[in-house]
Amino acid sequence: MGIYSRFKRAQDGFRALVELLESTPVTRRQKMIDAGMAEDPAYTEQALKYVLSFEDVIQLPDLELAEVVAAAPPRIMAYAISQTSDEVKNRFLSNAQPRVRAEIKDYLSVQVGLRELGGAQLKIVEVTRQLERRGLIKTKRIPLQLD
Amino acid sequence: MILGVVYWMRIFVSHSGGGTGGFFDAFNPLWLQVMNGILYLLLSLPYYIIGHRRYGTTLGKRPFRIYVVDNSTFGPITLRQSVIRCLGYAVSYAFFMVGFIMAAYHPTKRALHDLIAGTVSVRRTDGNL
Repeated sequence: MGIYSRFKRAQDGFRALVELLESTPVTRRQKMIDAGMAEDPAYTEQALKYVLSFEDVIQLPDLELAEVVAAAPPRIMAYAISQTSDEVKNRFLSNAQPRVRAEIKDYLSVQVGLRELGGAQLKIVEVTRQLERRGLIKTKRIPLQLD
Repeated sequence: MILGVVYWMRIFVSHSGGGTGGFFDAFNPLWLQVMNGILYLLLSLPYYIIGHRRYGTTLGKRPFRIYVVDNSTFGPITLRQSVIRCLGYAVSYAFFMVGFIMAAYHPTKRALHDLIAGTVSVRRTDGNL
């Protein structure tokens, strides 16, 4: 019995699989995708369609982005956007409350390593997914049932 | 705060039963200071270790919404990190608390015990998940 069949059997299995994939660092995620592709390519491809990435978070409309900025700790948010363009940084900052904005700006001066950057971006994705679960984010909403 | 109260009550109670001196005489006997130090460690080590490991915070940090997380995953810290961080406090306390003060000046804005344990303190905002 394959690993993916466990997700298929469970009631919330599809959501669990998507959330597991998006919370796994990219290097390890590829191994999981390869295993899924070998076992059930259609199911895996469906799951990949709903996997949120940090790029998806950047593309969120202003109101939804404001929810994410409000929900994420400022230090982690600053780490996550530290390597992005000034335009992206400004979008995040303009959607933050003044006190949070000041804190993010303060942490933007911190030198962030690649590991911290990856971890922070994964954490922001996790926060976004939790907001999606609450109904505050509409992007890549995971369906209850697969067609 | 609670530990502090217990600590000072311990000093007071242990000395108020007998002797000639008042409260501050409790500082004099070396054996009592050693005992109090040991008692303090016995109470504070589990408090910090379990607090940071299980809840990510302590009673003092919680009102300020400060949580201790792993520096690379930003998730909960491991028991090992919690123990190392707790022991790292001793290093930070040494030399006039330089380990704590360095958080304000270090490029990554982390205290010495955070650097030793691979952790970071984050402040959650009102809407934090």
